[in-house]
Amino acid sequence: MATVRLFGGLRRRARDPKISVDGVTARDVLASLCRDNPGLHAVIWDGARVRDHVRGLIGGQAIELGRGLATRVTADDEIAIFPPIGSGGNTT
Amino acid sequence: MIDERVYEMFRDIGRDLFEADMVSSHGGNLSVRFGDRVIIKRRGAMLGRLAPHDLIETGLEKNDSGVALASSELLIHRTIYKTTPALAIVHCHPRTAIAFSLSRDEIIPIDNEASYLLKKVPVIWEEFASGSPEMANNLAKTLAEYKIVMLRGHGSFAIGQTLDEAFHWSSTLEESCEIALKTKLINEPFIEYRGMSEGYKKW
Amino acid sequence: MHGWAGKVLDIDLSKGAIKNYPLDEETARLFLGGRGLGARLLWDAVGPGVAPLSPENVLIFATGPLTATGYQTSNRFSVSTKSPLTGTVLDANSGGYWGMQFKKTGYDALIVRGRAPAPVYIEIKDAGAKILAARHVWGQRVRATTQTLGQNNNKRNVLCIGPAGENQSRIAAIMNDGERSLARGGPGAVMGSKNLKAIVVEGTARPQVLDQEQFKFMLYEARKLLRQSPLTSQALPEFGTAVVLNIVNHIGALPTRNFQQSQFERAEAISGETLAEKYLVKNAACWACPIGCTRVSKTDKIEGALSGAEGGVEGPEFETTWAFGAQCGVDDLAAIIEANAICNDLGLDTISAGSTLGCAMELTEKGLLDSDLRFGRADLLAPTLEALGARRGLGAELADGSLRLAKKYGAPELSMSVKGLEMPAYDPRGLQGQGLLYATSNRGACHMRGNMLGLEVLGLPKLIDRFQVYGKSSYVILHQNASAAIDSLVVCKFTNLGVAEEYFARTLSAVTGVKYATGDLIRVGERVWNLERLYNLREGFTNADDTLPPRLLKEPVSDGPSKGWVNQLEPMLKEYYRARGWDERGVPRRAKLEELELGAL
Repeated sequence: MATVRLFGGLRRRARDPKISVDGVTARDVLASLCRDNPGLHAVIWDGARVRDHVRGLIGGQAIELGRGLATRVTADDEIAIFPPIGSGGNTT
Repeated sequence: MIDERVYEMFRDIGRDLFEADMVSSHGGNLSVRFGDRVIIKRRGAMLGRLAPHDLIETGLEKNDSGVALASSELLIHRTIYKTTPALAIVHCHPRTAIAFSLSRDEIIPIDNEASYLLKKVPVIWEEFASGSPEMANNLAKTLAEYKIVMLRGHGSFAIGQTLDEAFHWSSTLEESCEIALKTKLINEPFIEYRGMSEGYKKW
Repeated sequence: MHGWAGKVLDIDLSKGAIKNYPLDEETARLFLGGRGLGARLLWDAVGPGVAPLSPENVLIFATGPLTATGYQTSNRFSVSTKSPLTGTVLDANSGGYWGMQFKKTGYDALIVRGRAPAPVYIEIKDAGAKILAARHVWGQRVRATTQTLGQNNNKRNVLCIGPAGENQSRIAAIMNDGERSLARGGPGAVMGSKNLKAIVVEGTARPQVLDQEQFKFMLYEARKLLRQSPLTSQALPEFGTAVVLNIVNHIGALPTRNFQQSQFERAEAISGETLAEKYLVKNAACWACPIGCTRVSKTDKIEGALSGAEGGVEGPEFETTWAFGAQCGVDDLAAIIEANAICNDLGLDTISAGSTLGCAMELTEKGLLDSDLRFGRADLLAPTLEALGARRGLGAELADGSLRLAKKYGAPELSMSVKGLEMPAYDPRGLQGQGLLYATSNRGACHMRGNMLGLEVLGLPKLIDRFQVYGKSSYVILHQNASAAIDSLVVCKFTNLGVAEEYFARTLSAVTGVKYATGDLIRVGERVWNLERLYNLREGFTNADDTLPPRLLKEPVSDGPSKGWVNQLEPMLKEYYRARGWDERGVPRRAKLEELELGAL
């Protein structure tokens, strides 16, 4: 199980700022995170894409500059999700 | 040798432009400014299928190796970089926008997104052949004031800090023109929903 | 003139002489106001060889053509002078109310020269200016001085120095409206050296706007943009500037313990989220600002004279939280809030003060300095700052910043500064572009002269690779030029998170009637940047000064997401000089100066 850490206003929408989530890819992890915490869905997803202003990092590196949502996730990984503190890049 | 990340940027935007029907097989062009260098697509290369060797790096001011292979539009790109704050240029052939450019001196979007982002897109007339210094200067001067400009009957030039950004303006313009075209089919009077929309005409 | 008030007030404190004259229209067109106008006036007023704390230095307070028009965040103003900390050209700018109020007295700029024989303050009203005795407030702290001199909401506004400025600490700030600061580079010391305690302003003349209809449209558009931007409508109002602390730490770019590490293991404890949860009383906003990023926070450490409205104090901002937090290894947010309040009351730059403490902590831990300071000693922040403001004991050693301190104890490389100005809260090893920005910034290391956080971390407008070196200079130059233009308008850089430069250019045209395309506005910024460069070259600075502390160039980050990186300054700097149109020694070429209408200098 990978660890997801939520920041800023996302914390109000989830049961805990730090959550263990199953998933093989970044996409799986985000999907299952939002299933367990439905309040997050609308602020993270825009259809099948991650919203423009949501920032995702695995091990401190921007997901979108790597393999995007297809990035494979291991149990040791920490995935950080930041709400709009700016942003805009497409995490596709 | 072009940096891998830079190549990926060109490849992705080029493919997106082709898949969105915004260029024909060999049409359109992309470039970025890095310091006093310009990276631009090679003449004749296909935007939808860019390979690393399809990108040419040359000087902002003067020519150096590889320039003979660069796009014939290099002069225009250089002039834009010297006249405006642009760090990236997307030139494409958005079909509906081109159709509107044939009958209008400016395109004023009626949809929300393009009103918000673009306000107004001027159409300039290519009196001289594509790539002439006069045309380049006229286009660059207009781009110092507007982030996207139409060349009548030809296509759009958009500028931004990154290729992403310039692509954003380009696809927003085309989407807006398609909406405008559809309203012609519906052919009913508009209900204005935007505050102070008269201001866009003066933009 | 429209937009500009059209007048300059010129006060010589040595002679007690007050005059005013018209603002030169050509100068206004080329340099706008604020930082640009200040740099241009400083070029003529203060030449090489003038000691910054001598009567020959000047203080130039300048507003811009948009100031007080009611445009979003048109409350700001700047001070320009030769910096006593760095010896470079300096400007610092601030929000609140004072800038708007000063403009309404009918002036674009105030030049203060000379040195008063005894402490004075200046009072400026519509009817004119007076120099008045300040014996009754000399020695008072900032909050007390502001109250004594009659601060009254947006009717009468007070700008002053505190004890740190009076004692000519080279990291002293000038404070306005009680808790706002013109902080960096030590302008408070220059004011202290002039025996000038305060400037009080009370005006009624709103600037003229030429095209009212277009101006209203621009106001409407800006309001819409600021509401739609998630940054200016949600993130900043909810968490303030400290909202970025967690993400900067997360990527491995939060300098920790004097830049020995790039991540602070206790970042969460001092984050914007924790501030909002535990200490926030309410938000506040500057004049004509719809964003409202100001925090008012409260802890039981702050009471009595230190506290203001509702027992709280403004701040702390992100940079301050970092400076007394991660930089000093401190995880006690209440102690950081207290340190911030003390700096505001003494009139100190929080970035330089915190970074100097961090430097002293490392000097002590390395056995070079004999003091009790250690990383993590939250309990020593408050007493050490009080001593610093009073130049007492160890405080006297710290009062002139980290570079003078580290040099004295034989380790100048432990000062985390550029050109003597302490670096803000971003580790250039984890953000390559930010390193180039710090190295080339004209007033020394600064995050407000273009900030790469947007492009390298937040993805504003789009994300670029923070470790990329090739081509980075283009982005840095564009942002440096744009920020110089914004500092000359003067509006708040946070407005720019929602409102792009093209809106500013059109607003400027509507207000003044002088046509500025977006490209013209950015060119104003480029002109200002080159003028500042010429000023520093005239002072004897060279390309050797465009550098970073050796730690950032030679010691790779030991752990975390930036592990293994140093800042690759050299190739970026070469590219930067070429792209700026400068020669390989960083001197602007004649052709570039002609192009920018700076040829006559």
